[in-house]
Amino acid sequence: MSITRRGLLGVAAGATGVGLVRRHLARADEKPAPAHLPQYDESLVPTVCQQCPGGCGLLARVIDGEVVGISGNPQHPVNKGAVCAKAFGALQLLHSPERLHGPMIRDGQRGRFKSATWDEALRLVGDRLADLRAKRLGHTVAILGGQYRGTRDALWRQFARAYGTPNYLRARCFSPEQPALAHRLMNGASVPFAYDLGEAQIVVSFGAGILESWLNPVHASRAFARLRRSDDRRRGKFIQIDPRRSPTAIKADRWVSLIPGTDGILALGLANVLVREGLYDSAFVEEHTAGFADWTRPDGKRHEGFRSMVLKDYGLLAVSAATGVPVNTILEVARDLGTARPALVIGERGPSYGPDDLRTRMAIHSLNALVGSIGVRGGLVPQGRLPLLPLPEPVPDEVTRASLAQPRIDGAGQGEYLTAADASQALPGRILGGTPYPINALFLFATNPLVSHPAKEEFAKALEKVPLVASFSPFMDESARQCDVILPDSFFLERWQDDPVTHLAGVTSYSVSKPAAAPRYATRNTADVVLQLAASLGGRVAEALPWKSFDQALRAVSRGLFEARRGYVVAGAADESLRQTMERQGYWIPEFDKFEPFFDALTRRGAWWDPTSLSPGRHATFGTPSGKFEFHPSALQQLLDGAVRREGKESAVVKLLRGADGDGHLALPAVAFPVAAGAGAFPLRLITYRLATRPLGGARNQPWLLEQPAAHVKASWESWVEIHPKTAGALGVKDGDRVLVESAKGALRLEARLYPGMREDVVLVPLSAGGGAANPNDLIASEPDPFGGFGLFGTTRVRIRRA
Amino acid sequence: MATWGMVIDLDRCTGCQACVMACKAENNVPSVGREEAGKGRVLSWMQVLAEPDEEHEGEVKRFIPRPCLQCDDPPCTKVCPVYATYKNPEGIVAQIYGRCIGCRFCMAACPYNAKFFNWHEYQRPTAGQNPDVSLRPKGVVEKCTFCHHRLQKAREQAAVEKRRLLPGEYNTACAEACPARAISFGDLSDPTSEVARLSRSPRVFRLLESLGTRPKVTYLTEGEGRG
Amino acid sequence: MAERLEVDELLLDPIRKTGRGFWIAFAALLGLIAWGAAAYLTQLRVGLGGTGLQQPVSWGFYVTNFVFFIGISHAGTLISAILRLSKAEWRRPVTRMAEVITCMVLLVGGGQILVDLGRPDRLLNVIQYGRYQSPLLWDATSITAYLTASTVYLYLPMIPDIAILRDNLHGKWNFLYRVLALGWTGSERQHQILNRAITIMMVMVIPIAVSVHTVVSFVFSMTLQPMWHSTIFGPYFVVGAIFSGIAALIIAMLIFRRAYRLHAYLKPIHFQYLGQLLLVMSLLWFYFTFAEYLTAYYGGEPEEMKVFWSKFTGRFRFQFWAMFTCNFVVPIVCLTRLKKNTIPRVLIASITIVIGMWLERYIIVVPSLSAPRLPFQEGSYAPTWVEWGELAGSFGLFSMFYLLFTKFFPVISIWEMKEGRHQAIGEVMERVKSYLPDTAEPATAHAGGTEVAP
Ligand SMILES: Nc1nc2c(c(=O)[nH]1)N[C@H]1C(S)=C(S)[C@@H](COP(=O)(O)OP(=O)(O)OC[C@H]3O[C@@H](n4cnc5c(=O)[nH]c(N)nc54)[C@H](O)[C@@H]3O)O[C@H]1N2
Ligand SMILES: Nc1nc2c(c(=O)[nH]1)N[C@H]1C(S)=C(S)[C@@H](COP(=O)(O)OP(=O)(O)OC[C@H]3O[C@@H](n4cnc5c(=O)[nH]c(N)nc54)[C@H](O)[C@@H]3O)O[C@H]1N2
Ligand code: SF4
Ligand code: SF4
Ligand code: SF4
Ligand code: SF4
Ligand code: SF4
Ligand SMILES: [Mo]
Repeated sequence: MSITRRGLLGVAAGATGVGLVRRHLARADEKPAPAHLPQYDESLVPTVCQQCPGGCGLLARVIDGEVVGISGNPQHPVNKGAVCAKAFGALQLLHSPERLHGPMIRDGQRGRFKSATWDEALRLVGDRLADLRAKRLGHTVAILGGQYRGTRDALWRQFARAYGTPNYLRARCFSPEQPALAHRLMNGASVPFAYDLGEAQIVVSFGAGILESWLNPVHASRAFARLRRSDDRRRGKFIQIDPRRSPTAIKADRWVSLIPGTDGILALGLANVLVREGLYDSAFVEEHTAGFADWTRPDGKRHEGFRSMVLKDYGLLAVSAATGVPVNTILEVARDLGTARPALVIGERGPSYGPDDLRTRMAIHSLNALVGSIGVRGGLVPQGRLPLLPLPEPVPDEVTRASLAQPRIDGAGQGEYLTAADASQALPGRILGGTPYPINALFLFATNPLVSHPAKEEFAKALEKVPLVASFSPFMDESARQCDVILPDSFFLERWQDDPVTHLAGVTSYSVSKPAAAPRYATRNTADVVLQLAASLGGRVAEALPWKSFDQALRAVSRGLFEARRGYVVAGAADESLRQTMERQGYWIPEFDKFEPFFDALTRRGAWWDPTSLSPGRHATFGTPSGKFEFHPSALQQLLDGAVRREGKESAVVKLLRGADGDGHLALPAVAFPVAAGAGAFPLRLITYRLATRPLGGARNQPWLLEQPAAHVKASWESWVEIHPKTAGALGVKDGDRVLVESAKGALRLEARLYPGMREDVVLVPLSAGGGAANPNDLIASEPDPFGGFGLFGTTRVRIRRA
Repeated sequence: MATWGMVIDLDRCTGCQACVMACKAENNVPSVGREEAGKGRVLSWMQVLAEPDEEHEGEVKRFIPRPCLQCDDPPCTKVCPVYATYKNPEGIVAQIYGRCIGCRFCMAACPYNAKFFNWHEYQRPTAGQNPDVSLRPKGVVEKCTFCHHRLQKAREQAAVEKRRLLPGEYNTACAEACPARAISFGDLSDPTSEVARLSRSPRVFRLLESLGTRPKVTYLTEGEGRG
Repeated sequence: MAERLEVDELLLDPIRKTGRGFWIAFAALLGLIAWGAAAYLTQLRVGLGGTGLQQPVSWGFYVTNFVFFIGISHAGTLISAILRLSKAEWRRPVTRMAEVITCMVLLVGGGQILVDLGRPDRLLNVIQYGRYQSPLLWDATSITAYLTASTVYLYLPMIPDIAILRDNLHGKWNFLYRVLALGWTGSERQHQILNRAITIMMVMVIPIAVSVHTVVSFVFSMTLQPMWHSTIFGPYFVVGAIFSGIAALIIAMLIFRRAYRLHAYLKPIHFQYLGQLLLVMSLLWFYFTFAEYLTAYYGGEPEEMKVFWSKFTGRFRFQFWAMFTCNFVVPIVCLTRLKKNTIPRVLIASITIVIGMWLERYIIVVPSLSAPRLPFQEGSYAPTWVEWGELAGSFGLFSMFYLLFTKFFPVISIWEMKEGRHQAIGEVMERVKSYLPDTAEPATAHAGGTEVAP
């Protein structure tokens, strides 16, 4: 790869290490070009994968300005040269014939387009924005973003704040770059906690598709492989709790199948065993937790603690009945969990766990406290912060201030969505109801709600109601088709791009990449488009986004790394080890004296990281008022009290959290037992999952990936439903039959695939992203998840018959 | 003379198929499209097989990635009427696309189903293809080549620098990609190499060993066993 | 001076006059050939993808047809050679028809390989880079050898008849006969040479024929595939070949008997003999099949058993049991005690056997490939119209060749019939006598006695 080693200087004068580093690097530079290469100009350009939230570093092989290959960046701390199947799809994404060749503007009614120049498209949007702002209706502009991170996110947020709309929403189930809700509430976490899979002795995962999806399957696979066998540690144990025998479950030492959505109850059942059998880490609980034992409230009333709660309410028989997990399985898992150290419990799957999602996550996280795995190697480790410079505070003018004061359109942070950062699920309903105010412009960025949202039907209606809908999708996806204007984004291989990674154990890294190739068509990096819009709006908005182009913004942000005087621009293994030894001796060898060469190297090696990232310290691990892990989070209690103060005892969220015994347990992770519902007309429960080979956006334009068979059912290309052989037998359905899957909402024709690796009362449909493939969201009821702000995906019931 | 070989650790392998896609991208193996895939004509030099579980009917026990096993005694080359598939001096079983008459005898003879046929003209020159690997015309057989072109490149590089090939300089695309680091590739004849070390592990086994094809791709079973 | 025909005029009729029946047959076969041609052109255009072949079933109809047609070819030359060798007198009206089948069907059978190639345009590579260790080349060689030998062996006994045609038909084709007759005059000397040549050929042809289908079987048994890798495949294939060959021959004979009204020549007795031969072959076929499957069953090797059961009870059970019925049950029923209404019963048996033997080839080729050793998606092969077209076309082509032959040459060897009438009867008497113990009184005395005149 094109790595410059020039401009290395040693501040730590005399430090022999510098000389060493220098000499070593110098040698690396002399490599003569292979004889057969000069005929064409070939280079390996570092870039950062955007096929999932993993943020792996890639190398794009570029010949004569065309990307001809993808491989992992061996120097990138996240993936160390490895990649997953999805990464290669980017090649086809880039060269897809279905890409938009330039901006499109509605031609007559929605759905019909004529191509336009960028000026026309930008003017259309810019004028409308200016107009609304002039009318003091800035807040009636809403921006809906999908799953992306980094400065593109910061830029949109900055734009929203400068322009004056509180309505920058994200439609995604989890935000890897931010601490999880349960961690925020119970630990007062201010940085993401990472799951240290590779070092744990036992890992229990509650429905996180560790090896297929989740945070980063490449990083997880490496960790898993280490857990499984490596010469310097004992073989660890891995238990996967999942209604489906997923590839992850297949690889696990034990697969525990349960009734979907009952994870919280199971967790508390495990807690029950740990407490009763004294298998929990009493020292840790003593020292670092609050709310375990009962306590007396200021008002003198006794308040039940976690301990009594699990002992009283979560006896194994009840838990077993509710979760469908045999009692002795619960006992065995609990004993495994209680006896091996370090132990790690994962309760952070993206999609919601079900109606009681918040307390489910709290309950599962409580197990980490019980086994004392918070803040320890092989457990949950708080991640070092990235010393990136924040974008300059926008100076709001009076217009902006006024519209920013308006409530959020989606009601996030209020009422039933008290704990939710975004409530994309509520968005369409509120747009249709015009509550609290009508929406005049809607931007869709990297999201396709007309396919991916269970509320897709409402979304379709809502879009009709919004006067101006703009999409930035590079494809004519279902949502873009319903827009007034499309300003196609360039792909990550064609644009300036960054991605911070702080959610993976042992990694605090920041990737920046410059375009590996020029955009194939008249597309523009949306980040640049945002800057252009801001500029066209002028005034304070323009001032808040002063950069000519996105790379300028990236420079501004990453200057912080240069100035932090820690961490390094990644380099070859030899350098890395050398540096680490130096660090241990207390030397930090800066490689650059000026920012430009630093940034230059950053883009030509791909990433900056801080291998010995100083732990953010105790306050980051236990940032709660009590300075401890709180089984009964005071933060949640305060939220609830506030809600009661504002909305009275019958506040929406209080009603939601109210347990069997009134308000006694409101803030405890007291997961409510589901009221047993009869099978009824729809006896089966529909569950969606992500195939390891389908990227964000569902690979609709990546036939290579669509062709990758789901090995466990030997099926390739979308549109199948997995049914348990017994269930199928009762329905007279054979493998390969066409079946009709019906829910209260809709029906789908799918090919039946018999797979015994699941509960008999469950059927599975892999998540797809439209583009012809059958879409499970045609079946999935639009039930809001008040805590995540997205839909509930695992609650829909269906029936099946031969078609 | 090096003997190139591969060891795949099934204990580590997660069935993620990164190796499969890496291979397709590296070797210009096209996607054949929904319809052809339905007919069972997917081209996949590397394939991840799901080994059924004897105890639990229909369930998957483990994943087995299957490249061409580069048999030392290959049944496939024995039957070729025109030397279009043969074992080269380094033991790599190669295909000569320009000579193959498409009789598919070698496919019928390969007990590992590692060979694939171009039933239609699946490949046309398009953007994003690897210039180091030639496209295959209609009517010929293709299969995993151990990324032979990479060996040639590495050799040239070494030649330019007037030195011998360094260990690790020649690696296959699948091994490179594997996130679980389940695939090790290298020179079996060099006792210090990773593959040589692993192939001495007590966990080693060969696919369909009884057939005596002596594959140079071997596997490590899962389980507690050290090594 | 031109030889005069008395009795056998009839045999020249098909050549002399062309009836409606001929044109109907001609048109029908032309239709079949057109279908085949269309199919092949499609295949050339789109590639073998036009067929139902896939992964892992990379061989299907074409290879089945190949084995089948080559098998049929054993009808002719081999049988006629054996009959000649064993001096079976009833052979005389049979041999010609048999030999013709061989030559015609070999052309078609060999063609199947070409049809099966993904790159027919590169056929010559086989010569340029030919690799002799490949069974495929063994096939190529032995088939060519067999074709040449059979052609010669067909041609030699035709020379006298061609001479007859030369002298009796003065149509536009006369030059053809003149050339082919090689100036045959029917002299004693010529007859001696001819007979010696025929004898040499017939001794040569037998081992070649046996070798042909043995190496065809090697294409399968030289691989490691389950239910292919078998030692008895050689003889098994040869037996099957002769079996199907005789059946095909019988059908041909019956067709021409009807079409050209040869009842006088092809009598029930001929069919009774051939029928008995067929019965024996059927039993022999059963014996081999039984041995083959029984050993597989007792070996009980998992891979083998997968294929085994797929044939007996699994996906291929219909084809398998159909084959068994056609090749064994029906023949046994039809061909025992052939005294009464022989011909219809022999005909039925022959037809089912031809079908059954095609199925047998199919049941050997496809199931083994459908059940890969490793846990893949099991193959499910279904031929497309292209493959059916090729099958129909090949059959049409073969029949067409045969039909045209009968328009130019007599299907029954005239001179051998004549020879039969004039010499054979005497010869046979002599021969039979020579088998018996010699009588007491000196033959000469007796002869002499008659000679003496007072
Ligand atoms: N390959 C791939 N990876 C991705 C993505 C992608 O599209 N493709 N998307 C990324 C995004 S945006 C997200 S949010 C994450 C999500 O990644 P994950 O959090 O892993 O979510 P899923 O993969 O949908 O589901 C994981 C497992 O949860 C199981 N499951 C379903 N319901 C329940 C339940 O009620 N209880 C339990 N215990 N298990 C249940 C499913 O069977 C499935 O096996 O993945 C990210 N990574
Ligand atoms: N049933 C069910 N539904 C679900 C989920 C589930 O588990 N089950 N998971 C939910 C979750 S967690 C999430 S995050 C959402 C994800 O769903 P979405 O938020 O819709 O995100 P994607 O599906 O990735 O779609 C991204 C869209 O952006 C476009 N796009 C692709 N690349 C780019 C790019 O580089 N730039 C821009 N501007 N656009 C691009 C593509 O055309 C694609 O249509 O799905 C949700 N929906
Ligand atoms: S894990 Fe995610 S980020 Fe990493 S390579 Fe795969 S798709 Fe790209
Ligand atoms: S890439 Fe590695 S882990 Fe993934 S399937 Fe291939 S061998 Fe297994
Ligand atoms: S695996 Fe198959 S293709 Fe590869 S060498 Fe062995 S026999 Fe030949
Ligand atoms: S298909 Fe090609 S390589 Fe295979 S045997 Fe025939 S000619 Fe040889
Ligand atoms: S060695 Fe190369 S050719 Fe063979 S499977 Fe791996 S990547 Fe494909
Ligand atoms: Mo998500």
